[in-house]
Amino acid sequence: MALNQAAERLGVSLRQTEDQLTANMLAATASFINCVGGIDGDSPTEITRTDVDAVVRTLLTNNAYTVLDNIEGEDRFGTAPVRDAYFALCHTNLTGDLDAVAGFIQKNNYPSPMNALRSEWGSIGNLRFLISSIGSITPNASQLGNNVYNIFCVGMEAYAAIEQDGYSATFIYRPPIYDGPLALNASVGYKFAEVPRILNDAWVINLRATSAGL
Amino acid sequence: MAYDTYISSGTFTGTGNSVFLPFPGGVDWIRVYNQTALAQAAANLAYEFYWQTEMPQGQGIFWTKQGAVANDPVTVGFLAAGLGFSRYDLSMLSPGAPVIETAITNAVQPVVSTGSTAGLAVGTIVRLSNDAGQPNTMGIDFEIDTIVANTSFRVRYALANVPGAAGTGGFYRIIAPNSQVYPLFAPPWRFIVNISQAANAVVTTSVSHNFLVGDNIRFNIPNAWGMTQLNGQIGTITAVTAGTFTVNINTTGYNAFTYAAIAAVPFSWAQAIPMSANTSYIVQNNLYLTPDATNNIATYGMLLPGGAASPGGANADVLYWIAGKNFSV
Repeated sequence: MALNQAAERLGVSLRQTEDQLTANMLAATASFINCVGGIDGDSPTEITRTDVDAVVRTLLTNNAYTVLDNIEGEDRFGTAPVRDAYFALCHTNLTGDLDAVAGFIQKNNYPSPMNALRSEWGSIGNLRFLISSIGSITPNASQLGNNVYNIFCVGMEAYAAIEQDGYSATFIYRPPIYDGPLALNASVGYKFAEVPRILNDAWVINLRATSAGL
Repeated sequence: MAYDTYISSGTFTGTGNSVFLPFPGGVDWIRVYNQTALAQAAANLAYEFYWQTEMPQGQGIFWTKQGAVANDPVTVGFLAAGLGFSRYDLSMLSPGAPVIETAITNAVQPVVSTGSTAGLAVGTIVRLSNDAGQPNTMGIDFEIDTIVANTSFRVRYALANVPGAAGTGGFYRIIAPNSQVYPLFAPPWRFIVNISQAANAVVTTSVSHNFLVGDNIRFNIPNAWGMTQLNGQIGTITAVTAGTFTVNINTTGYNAFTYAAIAAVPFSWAQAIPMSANTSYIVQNNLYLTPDATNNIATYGMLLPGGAASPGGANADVLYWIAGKNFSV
């Protein structure tokens, strides 16, 4: 039982580590647009519809493919069709700011919510926002010294995590008899060797925003 | 310390700036010899430096040769805070605490007045914030030079024009000890502070860029920065200095590049984004073909501050180092 729990936690740790490395790479190397349409008095400002439109317009102009298909409208009260969309990957602290953006559709208002991803918060225009507690933050980087949230807006195949020499993640378990001469302890762990890399710089934009609520 | 515990050794030529030596497995002691200082006859030349893990961060022992005295007698001392060795884990690098600045000059190389320059050295990267008088320089990372102890420091690379007004007080934070370790992945984008109108445009970045001849660079030039014709264009670097690079794009007929005005705040920034190496240019010009990769530069390592009295050495000094690990039996 303990081994199963350890394996479960290690699995989460592995994927979170991958996410953090990818986010760090994108924050350091992807081109960015500052949000400028907000009213929080900072630079960048909080996210607004004009900022989302600027990103979508740029990705469309750069011929980036959308990642997700549209969700067709249905005759259901309170729902709205969802456009085909690029992914926007961001921090959970931005949920309140996203709710306030003009044209935001919460995922429970999708015509068929089962098409929403588990980490999805909703959509604005042609962006569908996926949130994470380890979303990327550049600390103290705004005009007023507040944290700046990096919202990575990506088209299809904009970046990849490349396994080194075909080396995928490996889960390692050494039972006590192999772990020491007295068989007192077991070891479990994982290792992986991969590199995140932007494949096409024109298909990924870091939309930088502050949070009006934080 | 025993020399048979050494794990690595090497040499470098000083630039006067701090030097970062990577030690992926960690390091417990390091010794540095300044060959240039040893060979000179001037007075009070620090030629040897030593640090071990029990010593405070930013310090160490140094030996000074009394070169102007007969028989070269040697003195020994303990390096003052900030002049010696600092061990870093780059994966944990985060902005320093806010330090009050009281004024910023309205100059192309703004001078920031502050009562504390602790931790600053030539080449340090700082980020300004909360100065209402000069909001258009806030949030941008600048490399600094010309430090007057507990009085001021200066932005190293000149802006295209003056910001438009003097700063009236805010904060600065230390972001990284130098451009070598900033940020976590390389090559990274850089802020642009000036671009010339020339047959081969010369681009100035806010911190040393570390780009190489043969790199392809894409430009993001928002409206507030003037030279919008360059927006989205890709150029190949044909020459570099620490803070500038030349690209094969003719900007003669373009709008002049202007550092964004205070009235334009909030704005998006002008950026140079490294994309890949231009293989055909590199082959044609017989250059070293760099791996077209994004490198994770996070590692353990040791920072050696620059200067004649520090282990990073003065400009053009030749230095040798040897480092090792503790072990127990």
